[in-house]
Amino acid sequence: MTDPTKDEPVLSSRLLDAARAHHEPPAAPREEIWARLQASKAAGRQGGRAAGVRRPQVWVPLAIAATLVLGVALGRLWNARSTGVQPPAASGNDSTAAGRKADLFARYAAEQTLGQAEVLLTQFRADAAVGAMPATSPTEARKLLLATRLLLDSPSLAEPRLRGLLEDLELVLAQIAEGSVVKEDREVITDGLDRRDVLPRLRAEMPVETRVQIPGAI
Amino acid sequence: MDERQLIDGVLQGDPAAERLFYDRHLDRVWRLAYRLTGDGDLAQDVVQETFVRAFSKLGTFRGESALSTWVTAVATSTALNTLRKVKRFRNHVALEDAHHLAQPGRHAEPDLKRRMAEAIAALPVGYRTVFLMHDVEGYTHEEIGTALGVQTGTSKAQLFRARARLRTALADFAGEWTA
Repeated sequence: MTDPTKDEPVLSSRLLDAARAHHEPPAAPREEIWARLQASKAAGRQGGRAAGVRRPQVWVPLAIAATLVLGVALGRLWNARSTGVQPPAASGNDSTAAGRKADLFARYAAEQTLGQAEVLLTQFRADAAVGAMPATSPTEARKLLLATRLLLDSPSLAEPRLRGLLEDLELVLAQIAEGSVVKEDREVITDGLDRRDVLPRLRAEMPVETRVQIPGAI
Repeated sequence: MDERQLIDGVLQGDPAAERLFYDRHLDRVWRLAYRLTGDGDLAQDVVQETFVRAFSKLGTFRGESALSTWVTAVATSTALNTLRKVKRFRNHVALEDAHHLAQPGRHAEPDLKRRMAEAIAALPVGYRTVFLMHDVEGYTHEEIGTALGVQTGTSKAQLFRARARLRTALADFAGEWTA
């Protein structure tokens, strides 16, 4: 194949200098990033998983659908347990399977919600860092807050580490959902984010390699 | 420690090997992350995640390219995913102008820098990535092709189009182009 750039006029050194000044990197904050990397690894070890890895793509509709499915599945399960009435044709094995399925749904909904939260918080923090008004809307934060509270109510998500993360997330989302336009308020939120290591902990919950398989899901 | 020993050490979770791996690749990953994101916090996020992913996925490295090229591929993918998520390509031009005009360093004229920054930011993501990697950071088309998962010819074509768009956008500076 011929090289289409071979005879292409290139930039003069003056223009190349201007191009190189675009996002010119300062010296790498070597030790700072290394410390973050170690903290992220430690958080991952606590969770027994690879740290800081996220799912490549997360969709809001999927998260909402997963949460709804979770609600229905758990509702049916709780109803059966509290009334002692088994759904038609349900056996002991079916009940155990239903419990496992409910756990899977809960875990899946949690991963989706945490993925969405990571996107929102990353953007919020990046905007706050440059003093820009957040592009994230309070409505998005309220939706995620609702999903987070649903997850906190789920008996399938009893791990202390995950519950601690969800509780911290609930607090941060509640603050963002208020939609304050005051810069100091936003700084308080980002301070809280950093102090509690919310983003590294979120990432530690989302390993790329682990795909939660939902029985029967398309 | 040679590359194979280093990889084995990282795969076994040896902290010294991880640190050596990090030191060897950090500058390249940092420069790329910063070039593509233009934001120190985001660049740090990208670098952190790049190394987390590299450590956990190093077992999939087959040695078909240089290790640095493989790490660059992980970094590029991470940076583009991050940028896609935060959708900051278009809306931070004005901010970055102010930021970079205030920075010491290269001595390009403020107006030229501003116009160049706007022109680069206005490029489609593929063109911009290839232009920054090739003309600014000095990657070869082979390295870019591997990093972006495209054919070398695609990288060349995107650079061709990127330069054409920049030439149009910077027509006021006609005469600054050289063959």
